Amino acid sequence: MIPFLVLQLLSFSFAVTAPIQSKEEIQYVSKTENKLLDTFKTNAFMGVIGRPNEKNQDLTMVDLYTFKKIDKIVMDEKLCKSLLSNIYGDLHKITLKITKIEVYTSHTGKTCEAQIEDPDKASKIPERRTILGFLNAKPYGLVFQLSKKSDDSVRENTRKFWDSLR
Amino acid sequence: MIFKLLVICFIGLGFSQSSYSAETCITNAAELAAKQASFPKFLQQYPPVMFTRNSFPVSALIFRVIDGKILGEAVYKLIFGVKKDNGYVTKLCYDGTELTANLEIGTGDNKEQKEYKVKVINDRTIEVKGLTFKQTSPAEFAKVLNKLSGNKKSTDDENSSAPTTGAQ
Repeated sequence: MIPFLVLQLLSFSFAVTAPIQSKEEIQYVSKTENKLLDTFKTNAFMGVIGRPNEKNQDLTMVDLYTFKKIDKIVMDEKLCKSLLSNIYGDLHKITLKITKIEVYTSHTGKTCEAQIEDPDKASKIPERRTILGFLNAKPYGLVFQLSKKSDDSVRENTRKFWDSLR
Repeated sequence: MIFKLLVICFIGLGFSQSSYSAETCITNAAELAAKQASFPKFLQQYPPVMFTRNSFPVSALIFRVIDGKILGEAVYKLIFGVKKDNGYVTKLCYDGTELTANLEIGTGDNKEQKEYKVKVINDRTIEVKGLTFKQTSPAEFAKVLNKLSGNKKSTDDENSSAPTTGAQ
């Protein structure tokens, strides 16, 4: 009971620090709060968003990225690839492969969705679904690390989550 | 005076050369197999190598070989679930006390971003970001994963990072 109360108090006291807001209930842990959180991440990584009401375990945690030195404020495939390299490294050198990129129109304007796959057949994370776009004129990236390849409902869910952000 | 200066330079050069030559680097699993004698004992047996810590924050690390590349994986608990993450290693160096790993995410524009230091405490113990991990058997590793998944409650788990809320 006491640990629960402490957690509730901590949640309350840090509520203002969540960098983005969502229409659905979300929680947030910054990379500064957990030493291991950014172990396999670039400096663009900010923290992990939790979605307590999401039933699909793969979609309950979302990695949040933000980017500096962006001149453009309109998403296109070139900018999308540049931001993806800020998350995954040089796209021509890495083991992970981008198997699909689509620039579509979301509630915030042009938005990029990328499917990144691990060629390792036994990978614990065979697919990383990434959405890149602008919220309040700032560039953000969401990465869903999936334990199995996505189907239509997963793809719809990830886009809906982006649509919930404000 | 000049003689003394030359002696100091000579000694300095000797030190820098010896420390440089003490470092051994590999870029893939085949090179690791060839140079394993220059690496810590836990890397001398062919990967996978597993490490866990049972105290807060309970977590697990594993190094595996995938298609000749070395892959690092981490599993740890957050307040809203168990987080798994991984990354491919592009270069691994050992200088006798510390392993330095470069990851694929650090290629291209991210070059300066990721160079990990892993302190080798002894043949079975490492320190990552100030956290101590002990080498473990597959059975022990599975136990810790179970614990992380919540199949066995522990006070450590309850101490995981507190979240902040962002709902409106």
